[in-house]
Amino acid sequence: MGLLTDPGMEGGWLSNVLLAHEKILSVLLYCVGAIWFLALAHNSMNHETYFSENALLPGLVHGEFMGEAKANRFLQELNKETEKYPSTMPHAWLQAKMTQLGLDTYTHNFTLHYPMAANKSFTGNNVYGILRAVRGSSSESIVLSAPYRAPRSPHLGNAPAIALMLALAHFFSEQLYWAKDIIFLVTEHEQLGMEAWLQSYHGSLPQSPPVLDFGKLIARAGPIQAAVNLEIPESFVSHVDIRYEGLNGQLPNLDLVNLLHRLCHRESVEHTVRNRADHRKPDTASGWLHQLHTLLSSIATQATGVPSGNHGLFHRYGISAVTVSGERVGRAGGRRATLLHLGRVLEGTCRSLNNLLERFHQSFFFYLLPATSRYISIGVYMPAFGAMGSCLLLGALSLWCSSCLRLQLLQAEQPASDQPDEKESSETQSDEKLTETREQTNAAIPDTSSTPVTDSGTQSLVSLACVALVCHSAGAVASWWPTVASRTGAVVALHADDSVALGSLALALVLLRLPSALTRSITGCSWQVVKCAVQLELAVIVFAGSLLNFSLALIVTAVYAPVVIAVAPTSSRLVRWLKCLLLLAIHPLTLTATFASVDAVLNFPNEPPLALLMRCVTVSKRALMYSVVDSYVYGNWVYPAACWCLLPVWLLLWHVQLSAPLPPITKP
Amino acid sequence: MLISINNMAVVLRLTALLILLVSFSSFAYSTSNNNAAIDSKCSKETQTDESSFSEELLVRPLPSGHVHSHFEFTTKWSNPSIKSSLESYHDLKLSHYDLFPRALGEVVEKYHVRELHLTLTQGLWRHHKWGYPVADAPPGATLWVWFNPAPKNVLDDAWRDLVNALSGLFCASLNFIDGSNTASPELSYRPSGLAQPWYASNSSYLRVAALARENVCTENLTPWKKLLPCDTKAGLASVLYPSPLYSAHYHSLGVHLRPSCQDPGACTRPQLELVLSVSLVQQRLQEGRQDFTLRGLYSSPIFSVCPMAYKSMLYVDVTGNEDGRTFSLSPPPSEVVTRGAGLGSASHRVFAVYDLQETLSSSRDALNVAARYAKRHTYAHVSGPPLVATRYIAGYGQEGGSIRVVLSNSGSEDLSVVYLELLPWYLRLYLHTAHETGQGERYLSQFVGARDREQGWVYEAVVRVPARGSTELSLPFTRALLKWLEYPPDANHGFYLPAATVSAVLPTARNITAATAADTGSLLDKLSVREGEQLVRLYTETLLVTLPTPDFSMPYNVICLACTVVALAFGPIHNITTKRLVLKKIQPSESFASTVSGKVRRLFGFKVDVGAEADEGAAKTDTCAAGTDAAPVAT
Repeated sequence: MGLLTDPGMEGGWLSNVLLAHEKILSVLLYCVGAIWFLALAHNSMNHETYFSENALLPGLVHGEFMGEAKANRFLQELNKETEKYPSTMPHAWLQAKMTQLGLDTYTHNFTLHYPMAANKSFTGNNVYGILRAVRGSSSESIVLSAPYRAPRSPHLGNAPAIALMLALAHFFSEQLYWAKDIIFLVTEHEQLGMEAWLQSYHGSLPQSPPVLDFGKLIARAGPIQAAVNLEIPESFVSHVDIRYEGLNGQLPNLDLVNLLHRLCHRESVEHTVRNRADHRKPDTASGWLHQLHTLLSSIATQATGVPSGNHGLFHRYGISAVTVSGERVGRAGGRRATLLHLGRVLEGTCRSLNNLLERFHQSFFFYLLPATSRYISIGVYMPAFGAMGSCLLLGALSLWCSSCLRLQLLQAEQPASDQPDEKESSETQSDEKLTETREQTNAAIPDTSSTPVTDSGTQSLVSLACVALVCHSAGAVASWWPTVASRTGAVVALHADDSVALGSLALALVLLRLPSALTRSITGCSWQVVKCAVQLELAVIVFAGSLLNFSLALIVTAVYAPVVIAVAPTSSRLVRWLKCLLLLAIHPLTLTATFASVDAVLNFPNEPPLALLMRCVTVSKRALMYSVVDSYVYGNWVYPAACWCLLPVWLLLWHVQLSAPLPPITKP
Repeated sequence: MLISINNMAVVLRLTALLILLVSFSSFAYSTSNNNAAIDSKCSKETQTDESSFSEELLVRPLPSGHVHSHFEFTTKWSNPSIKSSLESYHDLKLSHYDLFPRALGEVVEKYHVRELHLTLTQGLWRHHKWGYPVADAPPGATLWVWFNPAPKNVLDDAWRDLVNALSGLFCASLNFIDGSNTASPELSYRPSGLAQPWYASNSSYLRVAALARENVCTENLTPWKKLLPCDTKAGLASVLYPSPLYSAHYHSLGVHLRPSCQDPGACTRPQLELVLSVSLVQQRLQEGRQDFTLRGLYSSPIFSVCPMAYKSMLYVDVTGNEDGRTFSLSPPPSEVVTRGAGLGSASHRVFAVYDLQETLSSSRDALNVAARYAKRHTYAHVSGPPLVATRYIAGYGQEGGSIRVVLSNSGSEDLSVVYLELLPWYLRLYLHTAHETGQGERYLSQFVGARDREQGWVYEAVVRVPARGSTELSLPFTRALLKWLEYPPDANHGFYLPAATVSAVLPTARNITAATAADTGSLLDKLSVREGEQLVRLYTETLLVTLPTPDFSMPYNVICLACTVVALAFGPIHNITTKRLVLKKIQPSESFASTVSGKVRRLFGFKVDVGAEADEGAAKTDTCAAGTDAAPVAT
């Protein structure tokens, strides 16, 4: 009872509970959050998808597309044409075909000045045709796109998608009901062509060191309302995968994803999320595991910030877009979808999008999909994530309380002789707890005890600022380091992949020595204050990041939070080494390598171990390189975020771990 | 603005004046020269009240595979009263209506109108594919009116009343025109009819407004048809069925009233001219051929002429097809008219002319002109007209952006182009960063800044577009936040910006479809363009711009939340305000539960210590306080 009304600082029961059980509470919160999150994959915790936008009216009309023969004819012609040009796009043929269908056809040139090497550039060519809506005034449009893949490209071919698109263009041009212009776009060089086209369409200002020279478009068709990207490697597919993850983890409106699933269902085309069909009995334990697998797979994809298809680049411009990807699994005799079915699905999609009166704004932009017809909205997953993330805040709070307590104790120690002990009576009640906390907070640095306490507090903050500044500058150095590394590597004829990887490794190793250099030059900073600051910073990063790229924030929280709880300087050498190893395991560079390697192992399970190891090394180097290049070309911010936010946090943690453990407080 | 003191500015200023002059030079008559002539004629014409009506149809197959049809119904009216009011710039006094529609005449009379142009259009005229139209019109509704000289406030009132009257007359939402979307631009809209320089150069008598969002449908067509002397009972208007009309790629209803000359050349006898027009662009490929018949185009052949019309004509543009190799016409035309300065010249035009009165009187069948093409139509690159403008919004997100217009000139001479932008106030323009790219120069001829909810932006600039090149203008803007009631029901659809106007004087008449002189008698006269410089006015696309839109479900949420709070707060507040606070001594009476628990404890030999008893006592008082409810314990 008395604790509630006690005005004394050390007597706050909340802070006492916090100080007494901080570790347990943190672990408990983390575990509750994690289990809660995993449970969200079960159908009792998530919800059935529904259409929020009434204007879409999906599947209200019967599909009339009958152009399969036409599509196959286009496919044959295109294949013939492709044989003539093994490495470039047959844009003359495409342009001629689109023009003959009555579309306003244009080409678009772009150039990439490779940022990792001087004087290295690639050129490309997109072809697009605009079907002008009858009676329309070209104030709105829908995009149907397909990437062109030359036979020499490492990806599967995409000729059937282009053939289907042309057949659809033919069919659409005969219809009168269009209210929006439809742009048929064939891009070259995968996402590069799409990025150039989009930048040009939106009249972006040229970058100051021009990385992507995106050229000029001759004609446009107003704001793009939605886009569907096609990737169909063969004219018969076993199922259709609807991909939705975009650049920097942005997602399209859930209504658009639902629309595709609904129309696939209507046309009896098997449809999947992350290439995983729905479980037959989702309410069972195996159903939960199945959905959990799907959920984690989409989280992993979203966290990379790399779009899972060309659609992902539209999201930045506020355009909802998905990729319809035809997949073929070896299972013979299964039901197959032909170009006719796919054409019907796309016809329905375009007609629904044509019905839209307003741009997508209803429904959800933040969601996770555990199955094709289930979703977890932001309101459902955020509390679980909040529980996980709040262990960081809790830790910071307890550290703050304990440092305050320490200051008070020091204050009490110094003028103990001349201060009358007014609160003696009240203190007796909480005496037991107080001694407990005193033991726990090994406060009172011997050398600061001689100086005035308030000065010690200020000094501590100043030195904290210095430490933080140094660590963040290291992050800034790391953000432009790859360019330097690759330029330097080019001098000694090293491949850009290798030079960036080696350079980053070297920088990381050098930065490992930063704490010892810091402790030598900056003194008077208790590790508690640093750890408190770093926990707060990490909490801010993950909570702010969860609204930008939820999956990335989730993974960072899941990986960093337990380590952050554990990190504290110890006198035991073994424990210290173990903790250092743990910290090294969550270094951003190590994390990148780990995720890339796990991905490689999952994708190539049948390789011999040595080859797999080599592959892991290559894949890790590539992952690093791609993240750097993507940040230059597409504005992917995973690499900058890792450099500017995560690396400083890690360095500060490393600093905390290597600081001297403080001797226990001398009891007054 | 940017080039203020160099020579270019002077040159552009001169070209601006040139455009101003060219646009009305052919009909700017001088009263001082012709005063005597007018006086001498006046005596003869005092009793004459002439009015005439003609109906004409032009069919032009376009190289893109489309067919352009342009119906024109012209009513001309001259009498001494009209003549004197036109010459003295006074309000018209119309009486004894004959062919002229009274519904429109009364509106014109009442609101000091001298010249009125209204277009209601659905679809965008694609200049690069279809060339220039007979009269260009932007998507939506556009109204521009020249009033008789009067003070500004009188004209403002007249304009406000006029748009409401026209709104009722044509069933269009013209009543949404108010001060915030009205402008009086300097150069772009000169009088197209008779006007003296002092009047034509004073744009304060002009009002221009455009509604880009206006949808045009049968409810506009029906009142428009009623202005015709024969309605749709007979004549060319009887083929204007709604369904082929509204499935066309482009259709535009026009009402153009202007003072014109009865006598070409001298221009001494002014008359009132009303042109009602319909423009259609259709595509009816049959078996891959561009074949067309009147029945195919309008779902009906022409079976009658309007008996009031002194002239009922059908023209088919056969320029480049004089030998009939590309397509052949059946039945053959009554006459083939060749205009212009000879084969190969820029003004060379050939028309197959069907005199409908003659044709329909000689045979009992309806006239169904059919064109049969020799070859299948192949889509190919169509070489567009010399000056084309495209406009788009650059940028993304909800904060800023810029309006960009690309003016391309494929001709061999530099062009000076007047570019007019009328923008709503909720865009905030930034003039200091407005710029042009390419080799073009810019001279800002008029700029009116916007005032919130009162006045829109007017940006009129003269731009030089280099030969075989293009100039891109960029107008950066940010978006304003509207009040929540100012959003339309479909707020997330976006807001339409009206089309920009681009006017220029082209050096040759090669791509011009129709001339805009005031002394032209009929459609055929307009189509027979003269050699030399020609004025074109074209419109760009309308733009859709999204404004930052609040979540409109938010008020609902707030209402729910507020109601919950009120409901929750009501009980306690009601209790506090209606019940008395009485201090009550609490007897330390034992409740049933505590006696039982105490007995049980004693039974099992627990020591009941003092602290616990005290706690129990506190708990008891708490439960007491809660239980009695009416007696809060004041401590």
